[in-house]
Amino acid sequence: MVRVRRLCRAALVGSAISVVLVACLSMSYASTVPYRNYVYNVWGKPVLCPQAYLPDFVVDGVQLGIGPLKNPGDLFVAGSDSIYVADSGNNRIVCLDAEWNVTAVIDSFVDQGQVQRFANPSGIFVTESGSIYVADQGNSRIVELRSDGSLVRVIGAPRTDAEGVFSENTPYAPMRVAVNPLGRIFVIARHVYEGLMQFGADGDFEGFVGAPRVQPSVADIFWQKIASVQQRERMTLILPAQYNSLDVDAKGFVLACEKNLIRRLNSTGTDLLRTSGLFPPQGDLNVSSDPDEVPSLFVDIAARELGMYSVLDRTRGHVFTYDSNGNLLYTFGGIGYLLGQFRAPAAIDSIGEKLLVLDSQLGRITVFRPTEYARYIHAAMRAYNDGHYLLSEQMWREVLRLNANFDLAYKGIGKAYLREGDYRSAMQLFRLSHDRSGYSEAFRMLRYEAISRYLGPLLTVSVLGLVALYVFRAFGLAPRLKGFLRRRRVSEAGVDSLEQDQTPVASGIRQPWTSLARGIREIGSGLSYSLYVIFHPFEGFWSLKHERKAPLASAICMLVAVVITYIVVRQYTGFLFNFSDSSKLNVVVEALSVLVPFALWCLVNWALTTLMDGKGTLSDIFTASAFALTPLVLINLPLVVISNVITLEEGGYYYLFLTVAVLWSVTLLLLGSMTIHDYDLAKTTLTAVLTAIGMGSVLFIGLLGVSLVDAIAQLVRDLYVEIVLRV
Amino acid sequence: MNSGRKPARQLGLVPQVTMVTRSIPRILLTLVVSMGLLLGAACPGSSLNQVCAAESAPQLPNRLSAMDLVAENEFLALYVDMSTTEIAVWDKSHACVWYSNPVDRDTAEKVARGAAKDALGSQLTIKYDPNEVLKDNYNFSIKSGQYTISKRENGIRIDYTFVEEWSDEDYVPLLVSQERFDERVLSKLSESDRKQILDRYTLVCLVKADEATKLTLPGIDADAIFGPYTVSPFDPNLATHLLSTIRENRRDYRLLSDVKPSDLENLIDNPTYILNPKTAPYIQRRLGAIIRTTGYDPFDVAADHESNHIDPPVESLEVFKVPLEYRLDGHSLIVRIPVSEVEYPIDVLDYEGLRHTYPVLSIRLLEYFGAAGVDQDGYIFVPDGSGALIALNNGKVSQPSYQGVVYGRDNTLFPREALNMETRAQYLEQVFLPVFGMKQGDRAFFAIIEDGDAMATICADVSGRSSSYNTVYADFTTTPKGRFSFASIHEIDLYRTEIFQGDIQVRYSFLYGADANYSGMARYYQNYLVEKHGMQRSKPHHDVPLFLEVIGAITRSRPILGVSVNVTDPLTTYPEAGKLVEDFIDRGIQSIKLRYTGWLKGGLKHWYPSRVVLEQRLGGKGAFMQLVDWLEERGVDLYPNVAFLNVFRNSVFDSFSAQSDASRMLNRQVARNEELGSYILSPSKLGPLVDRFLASYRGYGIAGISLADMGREANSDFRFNERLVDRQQAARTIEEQVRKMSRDAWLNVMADGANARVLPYLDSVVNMPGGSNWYNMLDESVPFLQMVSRGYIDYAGEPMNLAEDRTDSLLRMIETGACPYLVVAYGDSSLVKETEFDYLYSLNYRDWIEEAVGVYRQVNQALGRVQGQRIVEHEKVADSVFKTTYESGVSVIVNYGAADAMVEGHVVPARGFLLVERGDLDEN
Repeated sequence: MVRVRRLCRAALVGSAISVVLVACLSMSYASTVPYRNYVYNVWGKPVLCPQAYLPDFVVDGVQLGIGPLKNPGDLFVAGSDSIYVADSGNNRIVCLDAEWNVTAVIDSFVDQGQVQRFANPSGIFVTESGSIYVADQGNSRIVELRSDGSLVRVIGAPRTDAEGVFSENTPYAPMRVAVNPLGRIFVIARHVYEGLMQFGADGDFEGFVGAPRVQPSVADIFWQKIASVQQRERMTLILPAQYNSLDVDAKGFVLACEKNLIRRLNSTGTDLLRTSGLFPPQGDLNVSSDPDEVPSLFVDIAARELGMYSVLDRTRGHVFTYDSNGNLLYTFGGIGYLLGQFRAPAAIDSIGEKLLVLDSQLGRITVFRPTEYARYIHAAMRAYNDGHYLLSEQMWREVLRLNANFDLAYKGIGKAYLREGDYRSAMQLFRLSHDRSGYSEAFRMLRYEAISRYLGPLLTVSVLGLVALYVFRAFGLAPRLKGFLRRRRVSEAGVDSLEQDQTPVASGIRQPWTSLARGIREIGSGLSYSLYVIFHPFEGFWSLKHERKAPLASAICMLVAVVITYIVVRQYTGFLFNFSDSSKLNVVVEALSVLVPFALWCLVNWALTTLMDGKGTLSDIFTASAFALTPLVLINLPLVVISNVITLEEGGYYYLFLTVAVLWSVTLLLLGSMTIHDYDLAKTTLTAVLTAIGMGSVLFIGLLGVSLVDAIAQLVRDLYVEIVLRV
Repeated sequence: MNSGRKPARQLGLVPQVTMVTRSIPRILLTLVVSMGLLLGAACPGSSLNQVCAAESAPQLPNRLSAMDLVAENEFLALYVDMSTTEIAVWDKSHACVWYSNPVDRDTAEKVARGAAKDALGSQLTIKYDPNEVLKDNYNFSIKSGQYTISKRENGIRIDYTFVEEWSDEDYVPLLVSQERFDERVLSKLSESDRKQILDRYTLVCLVKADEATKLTLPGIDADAIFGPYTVSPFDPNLATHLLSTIRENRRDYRLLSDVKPSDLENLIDNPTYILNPKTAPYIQRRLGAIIRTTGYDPFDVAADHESNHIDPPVESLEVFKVPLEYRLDGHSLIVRIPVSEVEYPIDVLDYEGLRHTYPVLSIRLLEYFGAAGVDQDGYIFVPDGSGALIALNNGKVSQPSYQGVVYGRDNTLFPREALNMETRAQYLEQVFLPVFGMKQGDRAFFAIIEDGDAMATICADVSGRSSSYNTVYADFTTTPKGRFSFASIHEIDLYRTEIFQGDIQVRYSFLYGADANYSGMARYYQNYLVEKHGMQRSKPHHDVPLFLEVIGAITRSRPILGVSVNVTDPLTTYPEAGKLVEDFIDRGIQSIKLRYTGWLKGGLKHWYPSRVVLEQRLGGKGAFMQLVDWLEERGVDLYPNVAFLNVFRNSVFDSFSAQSDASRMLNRQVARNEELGSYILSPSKLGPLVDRFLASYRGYGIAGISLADMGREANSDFRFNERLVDRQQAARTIEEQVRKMSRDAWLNVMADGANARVLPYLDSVVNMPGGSNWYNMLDESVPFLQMVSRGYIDYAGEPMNLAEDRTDSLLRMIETGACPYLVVAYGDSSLVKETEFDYLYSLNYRDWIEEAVGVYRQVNQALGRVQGQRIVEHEKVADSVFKTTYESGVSVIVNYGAADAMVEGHVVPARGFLLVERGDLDEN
């Protein structure tokens, strides 16, 4: 998996497809909605999908008859029929029913006979029993109210003197609040970087959970180690980021988001988020170095049915919805002045299948309704969850009818085929959805089926074969055949020896094709000698150098064979073990990716060993190194075949063989170098390490040169443009 | 008139504006007016508000009596106020006046103040660079009388000269002799004003020095400058101030010691006022305002400065001349700006010898024509997408005002990087028609941009933001400008080398009563297209046609022997297309319009269409001819799709060379449409290309052709030579080509999109927007484009299989009278997966045929009876319930809501429709 991601990333950097571009994939058909639905494919490229959510209507305070909302901070839907809006700027809580009638406006409550008001209430949460929790930011407290607006309790700032979190300058300012089914209260407060603040059901502060761990990079650690004490002190403290919002899902876990990260925390603060999708749930994939393309910033998260969750991105106003495994399902929304776009999106929640997005700048709520497409996706997942696999398959078929780009649908139907026993179709669909484990499973079943079907005939054939062999022997056919063969070989050898005899005599009139044939034969014998070398490296490399057992041409041939097998591996390795995008295969690039390191190795090694009393010439090094790669040539083609007939579980063998071959080649490379330079082991190892470093330096200098040339070219181009424009 | 006016800054290059002697025509005009007044028995009590008079005797409002009648025909009369150049159109039959500027602005304007309020009296606003300065013709021309009015046939022409007003500061002299200042200024002022001024001035003169009063100034050789003189009253500080005043106002001096004795000559024994040091600018302005009242002007300042050897106030170089013509034509007023006669400073030298050019970027025309005040009821119509309404005074001032770029963006002008997220939002659903209008009460005006349409942006705003009026007008780009980055760091603005050479012409028409709504505007515009552009009625079909788009081939990259190659993948071969159509015919669909895309060699991104080259992988010529014959036999209209404006492939042998045949951007680079991955063809090459294609196409005997991009795009070519093609010319070239196909080659032309330039020559349109972009500013979407097209053009909206909400899509078809549209292929949908064509994510026709036939039947049931008829009225009868009435009197009522609706005694089912035919009803 790690490898997949790395490859994807590489593909992304290369293609430089920007997220912003998605907004205007132009060749599509007329659209009445100012955004596009997209998901990322396995290569990290955004692909268009049918709209999943459409803006239905917009509600603002004036329409509700309570005056404009002012910087509303949060939105919460309790059950399926009541909506609560924290109208922060107006210091009130607005309660609405499902028909958007105002049922109550709470702007004060009575505490011990005194009327108390809110100050910038920025977060709201309502429990199933109807208790309203308000994060009363300006008053540094959480207020719990009954549904009629009467006070239950006030939970003030925690006594955290020991931890010294809050001070006069940074008072306790709760921004968001959530309560899990056990009554534990989770609070996000401003300037708190230790994680979520957890209060017990009784309102006592219990500590921080889910602290985002700072993971310093290797470079950071390196600099820390070599820095002086003063420098270390001057290094800025790397603070963990602050959580932006949270929600409680159906199972009582807390979903929290910060920056472009999502966490699903249990009560001990362990992150249980599943990320088995192609990419972790992070909103837009950001790979380009364009400063405009900042990563997503999640400002709110809404837990939805079936473990799905939707997150709201402030940077581009997109709403991303993921399933419980972390697969991106659909995207909608944007920043702008059109219906369905926001200016400053602040909060999101779901009411039934609809989604509500609160815009704090415009003070309004946009209601989005699911399209048929989204409803089919939900239905398919729901049916699968409930065990109605047949229904689930039908639903996925509907999804697929609407969207041939959707990997999850292929996967869903693939699973159904797998269950029905149509393994071939299942494989095809799993392959389309890039689901390797599903593919492997289907393939295993298919193979099992094939073996069980053909095992009988196979056994019969082999028994018959054995019988035939016996008969063959019994009637003495074999010796006769052998005799015949021997005769032929002798006559050929005779011609051969005759030719050899004549050669010195007729050297002046040697025909060109004869010499060609001889050359080919020499190359052939050189190549076959490689088989000897890999099993008897010391002797083999010694005679390679001193007895000229193989011509340079055969080493070249060996290298060509390496390149060819490498390309074959890239293109024909089975789907389960092939992670490259074969449609972008380029034979030149592939060949160079073998030849350049090889050439570098030879040259750098030669350069070093000449300085270090090495006895080998460049040609020696080249030949020995090429011959050292023989195991790779030998193993590659069988591996390609094997990769097409084994499953993922048996992948261990595949990687074992591959590793053996690589180690073998490396050993040969070392031994070869040792032999031809007449080194001892220590010196060989030293030169090998130095060679590796040398290769790195050459590459670095090479890249430097390339970028220099590029800069000069850019300069010339700019000069040209300027001349053209200004003159 | 001129003498009493304030002087204005003038540029040496521009000749002093002279007012024509208007006395003779004026007398004549006054005569006519007074006669008119006598005849019309003017009522002195008539209101200033723009309300139509009663049906009875037409009364000329008071305001008109203060204006001069300049043109008249049997329907309209054009009045001009000679002192403000405001115009008014008197509609005789309806006794109604239309003003170019709100007449009650002095009292009713509550938002704008000062110059912004004065700008309500403007007819033109120019924007020029650098810094995108906006100047309206009231503050910068009319106020200072810098205009000339001349008579034209049926109208007048006004030439405005935009000049910079002197600011108050420019009236303050720095050094002025006591004698002159007393005479010209101080003697004319009140005691308190005089005191205020004298507080800021010090009297100084040079006198012979003695030993005690010999000047020694730190760091300066005072002897060399003052010689035998000293300042009186003796004060070294005053002397320093005198020197620094001179140095600071001499461009050729850098140091105090640069001042020469000759500069001080005039002060010898001549008491002179010098402005006190460190007089704050706001005080200078206050002084200037006082001095201004005396008639002492910057020219006097200049004279005084000159005599004291310091530089006069700097004159502005920013002088522009813009002509504006009004003409009556039948029932309409035509407003025209010959842009080629617009003058702007090119390479003028400033006092430092630097060259400056101030290109006029855009001209706003009649921003306040028919502007509606806060008490007016009605709406603004803008052609956003299918059309949209903005309710007057809707209060949405926190939303950006409406701006719609006519014919969408110019792909040559905007390379991808020049578009940020915000500007992109303007180009979602295109503005296809260059029209706008406003309904107020029972009357409306409707404007058609007749020329310069491709340069226009339609702007609308409601009251409360910049003024108390609701406005709608067109803003014309006269100098396209682009921002380009080069040297990887710098960004520079690039302009077209010369100003737009065409004309700007807008026709204002007036609608009353039952016509004063968007339906009336649509009827008017339809009639206009028929009369002016020869739009022809569509051929009557028996049934509603089904628009079937079939995708031929796509390309994908696939590795072949280790090399990834672009291969053509067939989705629907020629024989398969026949089978596919047959399946639809077998299900009882009689009328099919088959749009075949990706049929040429190369598939959807086909090769340069200099001739027809068929795709071998789709079956080759034989199979194609068989398909053509078979389709003709079965009565299916075939429209093979071709993209002429975008060139997707370029090879050595296809007679297309990117260097010479593609458009150039402002930075002289070859223009590419990065989103499509295509070269943008230069409009100058379009004609020959179309000719060559048609010559080859004729051999196939196909009656139709479908245009992929000519209905939607208009791209300039900013070549720096004689081949420069501006957008207006490009739009005109495209119009010519489509006209040629339709009228000369007798092809039935289908297009994707429907720019007004090509609309009259089309037979069918696909992807006609079903609504507007729904900017927050907009209040309602209306099917204006459909109302204009219906009866003349068959059209379809979005393809139903790629629609966002298929029920909505069906209802919209029925509401707007559109045909069902389906985009399909014979092959499997997953063929497009992981190709660049993955936006076609739902293609397989077997997945769709049953549903499509179902939808078709419903639409045919609803619209079959009104097939080929014009829409005469469209209205919103209740929330989410719309009624469309056809010329035969049949109405279709569509209910988008979730609950049944009662309309005129009929129940319209929720998310359903109802056909009402002169009383009897047919429910669905």
